[in-house]
Amino acid sequence: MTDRMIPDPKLIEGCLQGKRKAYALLYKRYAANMLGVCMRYGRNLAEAEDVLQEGFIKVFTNLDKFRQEGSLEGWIRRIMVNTAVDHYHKQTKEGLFVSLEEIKDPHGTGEHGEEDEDLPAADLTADDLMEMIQRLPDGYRIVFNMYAIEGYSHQVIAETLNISVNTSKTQLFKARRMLRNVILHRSLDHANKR
Amino acid sequence: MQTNGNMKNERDKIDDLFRQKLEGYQIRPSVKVWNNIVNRFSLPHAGPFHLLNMQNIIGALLLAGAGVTTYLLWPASKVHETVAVNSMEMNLTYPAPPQQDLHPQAVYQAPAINQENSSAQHEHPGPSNQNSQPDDPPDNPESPLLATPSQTASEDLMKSSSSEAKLTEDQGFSDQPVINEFKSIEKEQFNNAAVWDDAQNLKKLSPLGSPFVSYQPGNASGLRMMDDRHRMQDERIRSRKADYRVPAQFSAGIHFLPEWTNYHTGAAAFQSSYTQELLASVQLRNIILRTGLGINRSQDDGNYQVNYSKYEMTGYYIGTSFENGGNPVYDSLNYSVDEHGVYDTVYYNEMYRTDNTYTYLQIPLHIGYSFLNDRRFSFSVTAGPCLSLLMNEKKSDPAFMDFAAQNVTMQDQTPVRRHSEWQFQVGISTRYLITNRLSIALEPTYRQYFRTVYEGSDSGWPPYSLGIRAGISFHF
Repeated sequence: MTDRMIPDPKLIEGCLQGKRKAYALLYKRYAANMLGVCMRYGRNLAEAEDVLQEGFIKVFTNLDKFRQEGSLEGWIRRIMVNTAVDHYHKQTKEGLFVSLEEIKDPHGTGEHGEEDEDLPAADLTADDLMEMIQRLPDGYRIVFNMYAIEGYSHQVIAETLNISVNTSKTQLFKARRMLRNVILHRSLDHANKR
Repeated sequence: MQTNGNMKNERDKIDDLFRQKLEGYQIRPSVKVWNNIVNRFSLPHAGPFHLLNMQNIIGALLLAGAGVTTYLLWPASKVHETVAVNSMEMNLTYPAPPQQDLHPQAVYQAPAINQENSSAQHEHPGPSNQNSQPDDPPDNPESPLLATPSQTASEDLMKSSSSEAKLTEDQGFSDQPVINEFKSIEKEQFNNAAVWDDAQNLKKLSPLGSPFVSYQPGNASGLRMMDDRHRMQDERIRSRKADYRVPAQFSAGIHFLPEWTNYHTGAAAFQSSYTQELLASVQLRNIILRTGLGINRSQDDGNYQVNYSKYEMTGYYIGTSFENGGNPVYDSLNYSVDEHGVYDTVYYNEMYRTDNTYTYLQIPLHIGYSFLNDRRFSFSVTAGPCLSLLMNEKKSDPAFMDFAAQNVTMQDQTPVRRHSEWQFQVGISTRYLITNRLSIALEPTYRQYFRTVYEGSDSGWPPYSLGIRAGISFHF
């Protein structure tokens, strides 16, 4: 029986019975996907792997609390996001990250940029976009990920990050603006090179 | 309203773009992540079967085959030792001679001798002893009365050799012509009545002699002669066996194998590695079988992409200022020109190379042929597969020391190594015997990998390595 042939509930059952192979299969099944999630929240691969490691330890520790009402992947993904946020809080306390309230828009575009330009995104690869996200300031990156990709509401983001809803909205707006500018600059650079 | 609609579209475009392209984005984590999880979460210890996969099963089977082969070859040397140590053991069973062939004195002389020698510890009441009834149970259950003299001799021969290893036909010792000849000589000896007469006399003189002498009535000179015959026949058999018996030679040793590997990655041409091995080998005639365990430590490049930004001067402009010197009468101005720097955030993207160390457990299985066996020197060619299992990897961070850099991110782009792989090794070994038991060996080796060592890159050229194995072995 291959890895793919074992359904998630069986895998969970094996883990709860303390079978090492079940843990290994669970990790093998979701690790690559979850590292992709962690990469969006981290600044580099090393940081993302730290978050992944912490996240899987939480998954294994709390596996008995998974009620199997939703998908296992969704549950693990939420744990990874929470772990990434915890990592952010921890780093903020240690002064390595800039807190959300202190972030200034480095490009100074404010809230009144040109919005009606077409977005030249056709030639952008997933790696390009990942690089752009990783270059965002830490607070922008987390809010953008949580809202735009994970689909959390501003209310939930605000509660999770201990910020106001308005701050969450502002940071999201600035994150979008920054990403848009980076994409535009990149397309201009490419056009000039041609 | 139109502006709001545009903004919403723009938001949706950005969000959709990132959501669509990054949804399902996958990166395979490095091995250390799982290792750390195992260590920190205290997963149940891996049982003996946690490395079970097709490769490892095949490896185990090969090793088991090597073990069985070693076991099958090993008894040959035991036979050799038995012959060398136990020159008198000829525990051959053969039928007793017919009763009518016995000399009558062998039966009737015994009572007379018993009467003369009442103090003998090993008395054998004969059939003519008047104090004994023929049907009485004998005092000594091993009394020769219950058997013919030749049978008794045969049994005593068996007794005399019971405490030592026996050389029998069952152990592959089949030299039937010599054995038959020996049997006929024995038969002739025991049918000689004089042998029994003098054996009784000898018994008085030599109470501490061999069990053969003390138990048996007979002729001392005849016994000596028989003993000589024994020895002679034994020597003959031994010399014949030595003609065709080649004992297996078993040895074990510690080896050190530095190697230089070309991974075909376009980085440094050769990466160094070294292996410490504990190898055991068995040699039968010219065929050598060798296996063991080795710990290999390999160096390889690590690649890191370091992204950072710096706020620095990207250009300059010439600024001009003027003044009239404070005199409004003269229509003159003083111009001054200054160079001013232009600063901006500059993004950098650099590649850093680091040194990584990988530790493997290696299980070689080599078959060789020894084509020259001098008294001290021997040359052989060995070749065979080697199973290599990744046990640990140690990565170093890039030495990025630009303190003016901001937003530094480092991406480890080192390809992930496979956990197990097969290789093929071949070597030409020169062995020098420094004592009867110890030898040193030097062996240039070539190792060919069957595929690349990196996961997900089956298309590249598989690596190869050159090395030289040096070691010292003990010969059993």
